[in-house]
Amino acid sequence: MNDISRDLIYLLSCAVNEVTPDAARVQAMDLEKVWEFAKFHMVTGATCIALERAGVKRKEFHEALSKAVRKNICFDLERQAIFDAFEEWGIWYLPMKGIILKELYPENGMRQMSDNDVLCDADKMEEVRKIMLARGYTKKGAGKGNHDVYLKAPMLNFEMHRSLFATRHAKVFRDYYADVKRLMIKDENRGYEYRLSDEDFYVYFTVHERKHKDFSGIGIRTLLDRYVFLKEKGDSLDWNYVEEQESLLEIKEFEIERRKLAMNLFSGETVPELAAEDEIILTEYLGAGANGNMDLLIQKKLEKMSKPRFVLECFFPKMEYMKRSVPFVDKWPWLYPAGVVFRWGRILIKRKGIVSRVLRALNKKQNDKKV
Amino acid sequence: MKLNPSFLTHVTKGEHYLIAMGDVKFKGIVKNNKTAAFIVECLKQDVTEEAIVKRLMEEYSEADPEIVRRDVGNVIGKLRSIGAIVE
Repeated sequence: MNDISRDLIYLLSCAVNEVTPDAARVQAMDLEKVWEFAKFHMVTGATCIALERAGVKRKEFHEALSKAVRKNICFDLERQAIFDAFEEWGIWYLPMKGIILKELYPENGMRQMSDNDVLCDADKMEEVRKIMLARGYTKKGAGKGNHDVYLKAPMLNFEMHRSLFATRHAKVFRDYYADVKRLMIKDENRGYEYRLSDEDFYVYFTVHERKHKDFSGIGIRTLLDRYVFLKEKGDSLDWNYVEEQESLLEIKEFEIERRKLAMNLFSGETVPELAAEDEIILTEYLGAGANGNMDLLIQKKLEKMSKPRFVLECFFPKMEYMKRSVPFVDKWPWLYPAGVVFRWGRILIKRKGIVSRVLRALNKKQNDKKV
Repeated sequence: MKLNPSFLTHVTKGEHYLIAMGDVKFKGIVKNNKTAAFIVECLKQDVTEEAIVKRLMEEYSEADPEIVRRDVGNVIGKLRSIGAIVE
């Protein structure tokens, strides 16, 4: 853990524990680097709150907090309108992840979100589409996979899930959550709103983290989420039940490690020295950023396949991926070759930067091997 | 006068906010104290400044009427300056 990481973790800990940071310590920080790191992990709002408590006002942090508060309010207002429409149309829905977690943080804007995730009735996704389009959203992508993405400028992004896991995710997760309705609890005040118990929410939170870890990584905000959740709910959870479900999902050890790390990092007055194994786990979070990164994604793929195979799959992805990525391949699978050309055209026009990032990551992996 | 329909209110974690949505010049958010929140809520219906003063006096009977009148005027002035009021 370097100084910047330690400083950011310290500020985040102060923020969520509602403690004023030590002024002398804050004065000694390289706040430009803290800013960049906080942005990378999408925790600028919480960092700002801690800094302002210590009497430090920085324009970029304050603007980030204002934007975070505004964005969360926009999401809240929009979500309410969407859920009202779901009630009218008889579509059941379950708000997930950040929507629930942000309520546990002590102040507005502390928990930033890039999107809102809602699980809804898989049999009514066409009705969901109509509701969202009527509200001015555009649908992104081919509409395959486990969720549909709806975007509305300037910043609203709703992921409407038809299931919690897609066919590409681990079988144990897919099987466990195949009948998610058995876990859903109806809201007393609404006709079609559901929630998970705190125990099932925590289990799903861990599964979701594990899914991301196995893919492109996940950042320190997730560790902070875990700490905040446990701080608020840890004492009241039925841990026998939680551990039983974790064993079924094969994530028990994973959860114990993450719980220990989160509590170690954020519950004390100072950031502790970590045991070697915790340092290794933390390094992966610190390197990943809020939504994972390309280096980690490629590294994890190359752990499972050879470089030539990886390159081949970049050029000629699996059919399952192509059906999600290119709408006409989903409709007419025999157009796969045309889909490949279309996809590469789209990458070169809209996402040129990704090619150089992949090449850099591949070269890095190559050089790491040589060392 | 009343609240511009492009401005919506939202209460979260005990804090009252006014937020501009849609095609308006003001792109920020306003965090309201208790008095401003009360005034903004009154403005959701067509209302006069004097009526707002009267309601505040009913709510806070021990307040100085001149101070209440001044505060209401200040808040309405600020709301007008960001386009949050339609006449």
